Amino acid sequence: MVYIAIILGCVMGAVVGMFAPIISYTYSNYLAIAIIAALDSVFGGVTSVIKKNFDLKIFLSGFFGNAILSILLTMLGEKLNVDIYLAAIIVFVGRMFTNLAIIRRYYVEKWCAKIENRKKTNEEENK
Amino acid sequence: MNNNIKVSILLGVMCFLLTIGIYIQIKTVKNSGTEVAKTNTENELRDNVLLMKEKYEKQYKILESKEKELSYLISNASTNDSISSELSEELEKVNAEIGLTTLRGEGIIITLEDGDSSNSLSSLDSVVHDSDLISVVNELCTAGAEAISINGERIVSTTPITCIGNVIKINDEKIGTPFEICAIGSKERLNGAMTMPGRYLDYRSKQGIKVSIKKSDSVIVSRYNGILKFEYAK
Repeated sequence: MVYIAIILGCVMGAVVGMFAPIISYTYSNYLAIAIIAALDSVFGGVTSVIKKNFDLKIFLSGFFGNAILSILLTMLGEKLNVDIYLAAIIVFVGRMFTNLAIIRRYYVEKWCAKIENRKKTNEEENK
Repeated sequence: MNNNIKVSILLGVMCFLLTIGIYIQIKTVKNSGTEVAKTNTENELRDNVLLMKEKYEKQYKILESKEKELSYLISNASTNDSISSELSEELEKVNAEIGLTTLRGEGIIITLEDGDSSNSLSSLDSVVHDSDLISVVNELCTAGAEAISINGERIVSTTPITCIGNVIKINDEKIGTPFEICAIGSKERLNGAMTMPGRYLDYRSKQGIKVSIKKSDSVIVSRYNGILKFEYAK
């Protein structure tokens, strides 16, 4: 269900995105950071669905909070001539890998359990 | 179940926005030419160039639509009137003559490209210069070409061809190698004139530039994009 929605969203986004206008080059840095934040949120959302502790308020506030903070950091970094946005990217991508690990573990365990169950039932039938 | 649907919709919307963002970003980066910007000033300059480009394209689109409207109005106004229909026909003919319409017809396509400088006597000889384009245009005109364009820039009566550093400027547009010269005219005659031994292109190709000539039954010569104006001529 969740994955169908994600794929549908991606396809629709791709179709709309083909006709989207380009933005000015200065803002592309901020958009890049926002994209990474959104990706992080999607992974976080899937993880929390798997863990069954999904909370709409926390999800939305997390997304907006992360995106705004990272954009502000990017702006500050530009003023100070330090690439602070790298820190935001490292945090986001690091979290993405952690979340991916949780998702992976869940599905691998589910799959293994299924195979074992099938084996057991087969053995019982053979007896 | 209710919660599940809510979550799915939310994540779907999220992904929708995410892909749009990614697409916009890819387009922007592609349009600006390079992936890594060096400094803030460079960013701003690049930004200005993009803005100007966008503005130009928008204005050009408006111009095109207005021109369509104009031609529609002209054809509308001249349907029941023999004098004005004659006039509009004449207008079309004159526009074609001075290069304000895109033309199509038989002709040849010449492609000039910088050669390999290592097997030429002088490395300057193996590069296509502005003088080469001028000579080729001149020879094409001599052979009876009716319309000529170089990389989409129409050659009209006021077209300058100049050299600015490592590119060539035609009609105030910078163009670079390879140069594709489209000419409408009798394809046999044009081809003969351009490939004749001892003529300019033969001589230049011996000096090292790459020349290829293609005959075609439908060469498209695009219209002149600039403004023709007479300020001093009376």
